[in-house]
Amino acid sequence: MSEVLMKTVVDCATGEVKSVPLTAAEISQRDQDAAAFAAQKAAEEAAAAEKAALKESAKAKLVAGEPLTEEEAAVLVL
Amino acid sequence: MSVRKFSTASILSPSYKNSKIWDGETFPGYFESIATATSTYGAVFTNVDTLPYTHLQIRVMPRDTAATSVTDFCIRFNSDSGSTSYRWHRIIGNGSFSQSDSFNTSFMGCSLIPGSSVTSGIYGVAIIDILDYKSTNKVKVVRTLGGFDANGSGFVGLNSGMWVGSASTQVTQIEVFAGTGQAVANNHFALYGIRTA
Repeated sequence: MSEVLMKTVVDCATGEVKSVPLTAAEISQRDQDAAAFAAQKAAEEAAAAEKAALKESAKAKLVAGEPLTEEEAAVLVL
Repeated sequence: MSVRKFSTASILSPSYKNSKIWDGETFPGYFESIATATSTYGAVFTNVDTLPYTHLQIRVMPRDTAATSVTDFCIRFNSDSGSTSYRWHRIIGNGSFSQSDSFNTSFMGCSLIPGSSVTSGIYGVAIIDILDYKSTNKVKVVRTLGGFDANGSGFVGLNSGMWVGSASTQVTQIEVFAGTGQAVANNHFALYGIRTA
């Protein structure tokens, strides 16, 4: 049996508090939110990995006395 | 509060309406608790525009069932789930790195909270300020300070965000929920109101 997701709804006009199951539309929205969040996280992690790789490459070139690319220089300059 | 009305009837037939005398101690509340809820999903506060406050604050202690160490806690207004209805920024750090991000999504991220890979019983905390939420000429903005500590790991974050195109729209409904849409039991949501002087 699948779990029924419940949300707590507080009516600030009446003070009534009730627990109601999520509708199909709300569950669909929840899934879209989760997918959007996962996509954001992936993009964020990819950008962080790219920046870290640029830093490593720039560091190695500096030690070896090789010229840096513009992108590598950009991650080193504050 | 000063004496507003006092008459013979105040003594002979006292009622709260004609005995408005300051007791010398009581002050009207400027920061008041409105409602508290616990939930396995999130909380929805409806008809908030009927409240006599200028600003709102939500204090949360959430945790998510997501199979990860960290996820986001989110907020949405008036059931607006448009894919680009909210813009938000954050600065986060965990003690060994710091990072800043910006997003344009169907919800506003408020704070990082623990997922299921964090030791059970550890919850995140966040204080979410919703400023001038009934204004009809200012875009609605949110500021949050939050994070969690997992005894050796964890995050702290400062988030700010806006509800795009909301200048003339009062906030009537507030939904708060875990980023994956499924929070664990005993998640705590408390709504407070702040009056202007």
